[in-house]
Amino acid sequence: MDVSSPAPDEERREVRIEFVGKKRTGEDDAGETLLVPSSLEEALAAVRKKIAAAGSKISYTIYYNGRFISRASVKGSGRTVENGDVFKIIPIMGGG
Amino acid sequence: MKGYTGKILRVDLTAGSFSVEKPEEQFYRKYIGGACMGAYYLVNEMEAGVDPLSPENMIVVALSSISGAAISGSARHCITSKSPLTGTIASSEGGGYWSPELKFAGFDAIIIKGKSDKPVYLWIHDGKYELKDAGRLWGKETGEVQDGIRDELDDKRVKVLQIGEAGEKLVRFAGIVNELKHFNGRNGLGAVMGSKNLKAIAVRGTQKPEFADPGLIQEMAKKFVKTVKEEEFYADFRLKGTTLNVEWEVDQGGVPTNNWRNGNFEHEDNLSGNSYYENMVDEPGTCWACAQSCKRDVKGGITEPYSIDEKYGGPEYETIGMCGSNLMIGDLVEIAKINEVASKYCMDTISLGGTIGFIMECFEKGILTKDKTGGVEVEFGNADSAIKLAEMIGKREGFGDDAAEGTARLAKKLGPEAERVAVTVKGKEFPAHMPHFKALMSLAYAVNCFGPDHVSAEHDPCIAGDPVQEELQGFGFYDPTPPEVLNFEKAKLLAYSQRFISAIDSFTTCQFTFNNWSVYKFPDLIKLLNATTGWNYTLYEMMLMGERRLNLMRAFNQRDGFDSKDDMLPDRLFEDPISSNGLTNGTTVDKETFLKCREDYYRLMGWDPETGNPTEVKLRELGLDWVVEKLNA
Repeated sequence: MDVSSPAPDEERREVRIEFVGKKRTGEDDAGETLLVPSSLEEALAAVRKKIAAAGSKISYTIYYNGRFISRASVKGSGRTVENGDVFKIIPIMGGG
Repeated sequence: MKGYTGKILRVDLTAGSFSVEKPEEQFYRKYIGGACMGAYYLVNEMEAGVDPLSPENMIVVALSSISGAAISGSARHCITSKSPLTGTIASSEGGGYWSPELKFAGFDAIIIKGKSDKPVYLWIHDGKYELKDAGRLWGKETGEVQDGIRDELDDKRVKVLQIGEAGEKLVRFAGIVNELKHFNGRNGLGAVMGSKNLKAIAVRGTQKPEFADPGLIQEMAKKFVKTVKEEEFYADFRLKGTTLNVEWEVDQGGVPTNNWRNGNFEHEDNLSGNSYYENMVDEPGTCWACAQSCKRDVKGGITEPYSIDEKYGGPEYETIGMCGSNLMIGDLVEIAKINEVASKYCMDTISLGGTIGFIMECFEKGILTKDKTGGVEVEFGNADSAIKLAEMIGKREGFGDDAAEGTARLAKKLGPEAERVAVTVKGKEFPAHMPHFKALMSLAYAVNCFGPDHVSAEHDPCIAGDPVQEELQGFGFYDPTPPEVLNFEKAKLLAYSQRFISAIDSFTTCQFTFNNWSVYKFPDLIKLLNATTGWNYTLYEMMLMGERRLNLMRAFNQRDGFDSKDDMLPDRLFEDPISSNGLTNGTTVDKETFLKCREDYYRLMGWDPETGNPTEVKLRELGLDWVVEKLNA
């Protein structure tokens, strides 16, 4: 488990990050958990920081509990995250 | 002139005669090659109203200045003709190993007219050309034909571009193939070759083209190899190719399933890119000189539940979607078998899967019964039936003769209830990207000049990144837009991305190596064009050239009576909510929004907002005054 926020424990939530397409056959998991601030805006920032730390140069889209989000769409929204919420990360590629 | 041979071969199959055209450099700069050059010749030399399967139709096979340069993404060629599936102008791109060999044989393009009175193949080698008898090759599988031609010419290095039995039998979605597994798949252009009794074009050459800056080309080629090795995404794309799309689209409920009634299904994990990589392939395939190596091959020794002949290659994402989930078939070996049958007969797997899915739903609804299908139980999930039906279509045998006409014509024959469940635009089946998830696809499928196509425009996720990729910020896209949303930004993305993808197809480069998400970005495209030619092309000139080709196609269709009424989605997309486990569940395409965005798109293209046809001012802006005169004649 990675702790990426200095927020007090009671204000943090344990969310799941799933890297879609990363799971290999025979493995159970393509994700990891992350402790993030309860504010969705700050949680998204923590998730983005986590992805950036992986060093990927590829653009990606982020879905939060099945819905598309961006920094602009959550800015000032006041929305909060709950334990077990899921952030899905999908790299950007064209047609096939 | 650098990059080009300066020679275009003209073939009159009726007369059995040849001539060589040597255009000025200005012509090459304006129409560049590939898709744009093909559109030029069709608009300039074909009359309106020509039957696509008549001798009056023409075929243009065109390369560009990059062909023959040993760099990733260069081994493409474009075939343009009037499609027997859509009745429109159509182009189809293919990779593999054929295009550099044509350049080495001394030509930038081939223009084919007329009809031979007997089966022939065209043999081009080091500036020479002749028609050879193909009677003994007619009716043979593509593997036998390739071996037969190489044996006759006593050279295993000859590259063979050919049709299969489906093309000979005029199946309306017959394709054209080189090296048995690299297809110009879509739009039924194999049937056009078949209608001309032209079985194949065999090429072999030793004349290396002269490029303006070979050092820069080599430097760029090395950079590509390094990037694929070092960056995780491109390394992953090398291993899994287009099958990467399966997980991403399944996750959102965006893979056509059950004839477009669902967006994913219970066996989706079996079809994933990881599953394919683990179970179906030893090493990825590739095209000439390409380090991306994204081609889906299939390994030898697969025998259960079907024996798979690896020489015909493996299914790409589109085939997995349309011959897999769309038919509710959840086994990669079963899909690989359908792919093998399609390859042997040389048929487009997208239209094949779309047509079989349509037939399966008709069977489910009782519109079709075993009495009508020649005893075949065409049920969803039944791979045996799908394979049998594919063979019947390839041979036009029994009910396969009706199905070989494609979904739209078969639906018309079966009546209104069948027409209601047919998923086509301009008579052509949809690719495997659902507009419910990728909203731009609703517009792209509707307005594209040769019907639904997944590689004529960018896909929605490219402006969903946060921040939007820098290359696309350069086109004026600054704020991330959700893939599933249809709005003005999507109309704009369609209008702009059609232009640059049209340019990519005219420069005959691969979209999987030159794109906003690929190793080479747009500035690299310009750099390479100039390295091959010595010109000072700009991105602006490149976009104008792409737009020129789009307008040529639109003008061609306008002469044949096409307009905005043909740029319309089927009712199923507007009226039948799909079921999925993703965000697409319960959604349809909103018709009012679609129509508004379509009108916005027409305006962005400089076309008449009512008819969707090019305006005189737009044509003149693009240096197409001669097209205005033709339209007014």
